[in-house]
Amino acid sequence: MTGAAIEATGLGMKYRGRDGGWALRDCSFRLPAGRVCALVGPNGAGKSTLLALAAGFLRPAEGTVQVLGGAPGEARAKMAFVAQDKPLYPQLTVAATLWAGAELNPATWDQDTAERIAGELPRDAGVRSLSGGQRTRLALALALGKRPELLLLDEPMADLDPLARHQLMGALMAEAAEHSTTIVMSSHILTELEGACDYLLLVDGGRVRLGGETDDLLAAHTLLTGPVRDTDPHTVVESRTAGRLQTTLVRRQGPVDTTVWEATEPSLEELLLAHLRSPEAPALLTPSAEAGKEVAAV
Amino acid sequence: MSAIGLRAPVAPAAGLRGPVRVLLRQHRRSLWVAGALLVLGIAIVVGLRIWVAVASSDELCADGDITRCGDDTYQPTYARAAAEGYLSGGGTVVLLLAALIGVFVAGPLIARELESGTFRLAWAQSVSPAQWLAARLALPAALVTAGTTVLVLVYRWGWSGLQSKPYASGLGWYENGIHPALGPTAVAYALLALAVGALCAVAVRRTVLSMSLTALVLGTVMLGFGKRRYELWPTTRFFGDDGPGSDAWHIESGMLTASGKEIYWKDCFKAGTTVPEDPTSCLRNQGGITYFADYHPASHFWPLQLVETGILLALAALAVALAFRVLRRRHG
Repeated sequence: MTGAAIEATGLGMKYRGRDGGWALRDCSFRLPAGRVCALVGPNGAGKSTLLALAAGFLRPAEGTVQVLGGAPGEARAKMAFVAQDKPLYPQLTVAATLWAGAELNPATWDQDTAERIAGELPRDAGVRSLSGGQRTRLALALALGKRPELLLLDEPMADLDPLARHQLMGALMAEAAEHSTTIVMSSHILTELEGACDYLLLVDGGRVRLGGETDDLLAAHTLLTGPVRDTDPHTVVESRTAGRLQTTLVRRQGPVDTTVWEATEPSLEELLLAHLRSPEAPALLTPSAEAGKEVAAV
Repeated sequence: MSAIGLRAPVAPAAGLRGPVRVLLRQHRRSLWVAGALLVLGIAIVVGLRIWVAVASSDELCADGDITRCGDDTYQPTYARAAAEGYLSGGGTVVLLLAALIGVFVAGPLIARELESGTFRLAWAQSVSPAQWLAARLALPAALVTAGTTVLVLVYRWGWSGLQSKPYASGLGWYENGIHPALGPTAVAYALLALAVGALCAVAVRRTVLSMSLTALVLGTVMLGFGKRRYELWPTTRFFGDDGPGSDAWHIESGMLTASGKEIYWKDCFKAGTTVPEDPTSCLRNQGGITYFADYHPASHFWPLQLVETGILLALAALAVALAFRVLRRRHG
């Protein structure tokens, strides 16, 4: 798989009536196709806005976003989006909702996939009567029944108990692997995504602060433990001192002096938390996540 | 829509099939209610005519009098008097139905989806915002055009049966309570209502607020046309003592002076002035010589209907174009 699933350039979004603040500002990144990407960040970081822009629900205030090589509106048939509140028509039953999915996607609908994801949901139950978890299941069935090339999920598992979460995540990953679907999943619960995602976008304060393959991002950082001392030439992300011991998360610039430091690779959680606690740390995008890179190479 | 230079926002008809079918399913109950209202309207008109026909066995004279023929007293059957009363409100009922349609389109059909977020269900499937809105306009437009046309035809049939009787009262073709239901204006009002409803809904995006706004706009338009309808076509002037006939819509009358200046009756009876013993003296004292009356003859019915229909449809087209524009500006 080559090409970009999502490519944003200078993307900005402002909502009226919110003190004129920017929900997203000067946001540039690239998500290669075929990845399972975790979109993480604190509440209000701009994750939902970014997904809504990619889904073509909002018009950006500035910059552009390309989805599957075209404008979001043109890619509508090839992508699916499950919003955080799982919008479903309350008047319909489960069966009617799946029927509506078939009606609204005449070209791509796969009833078998939808039925499989819907699982044991009572087909004649009204959408109004479904629990939060059941709604999630139905919304995912609707999204996957469409056979999307790109699947955007905004906080998909928040309403699910651990067992259902595990089960649905498994089904999701199986579908994705079988059809090499690109998935973007937002969450502020890191454990929900760890292990499932091979790509990472950290959004904070309306900007992308980290972007790239999870492994590469982890490998680019080192946790240095040792005496309180300057860590030059490495870029410091976060440094904490406890007594005479200093723990610093650095972005390596050259080899680490292991005679002074004890060097370990940080966990994903350590990496993300360090960045969230240090808003001043510079952004890091691996080459595959940099907007415009692939285009220039071709 | 092309008149204000807008790119065609409506997707090809084939692209609307799915959204329209889903829409029908979503609002099945409202459709039943609308169908029931239509049947009720037809039943009322048919029932009134049957009632009048059955009661006509009480009529003693050819002109429908139930008292002694040929004398000064004239009394229609109760059925006829009642039917005249009910049918004289047909135009008002049609306007109210149109407003109801507008409010429904504004609220449950569009704004509620925008407010509750369910619009994202369709948009996240293969339906573009323009298709989504087009389905919400095209389906009601088709249903409303068909339903209102049937109502108008039935109403005309009921109205003409009573209106042709001598001494029929309050059934003039020009009455505000009747005129809107006698022709294409009824359909135009219904279409304008749904266009205004759609525009208010996409602009305001709040269910109750856009319903109220729609009702307010439609009420203003309907009252405005009710007040100024007579200006939509130039009146005919009649000279002489006797009026222009019972079928005419009397607008204004008075006398002309030698120089051709118009003196109106209405200026003679300003508030506070006492009516003189000979009312014509008021006009004559100001130099009036010949009586005149400005009126719309019955032949002006169609021009008046068509001009009003044209204006309403133009407004509807404008509202639809604006609605698509607002939607595209916000959602790309």
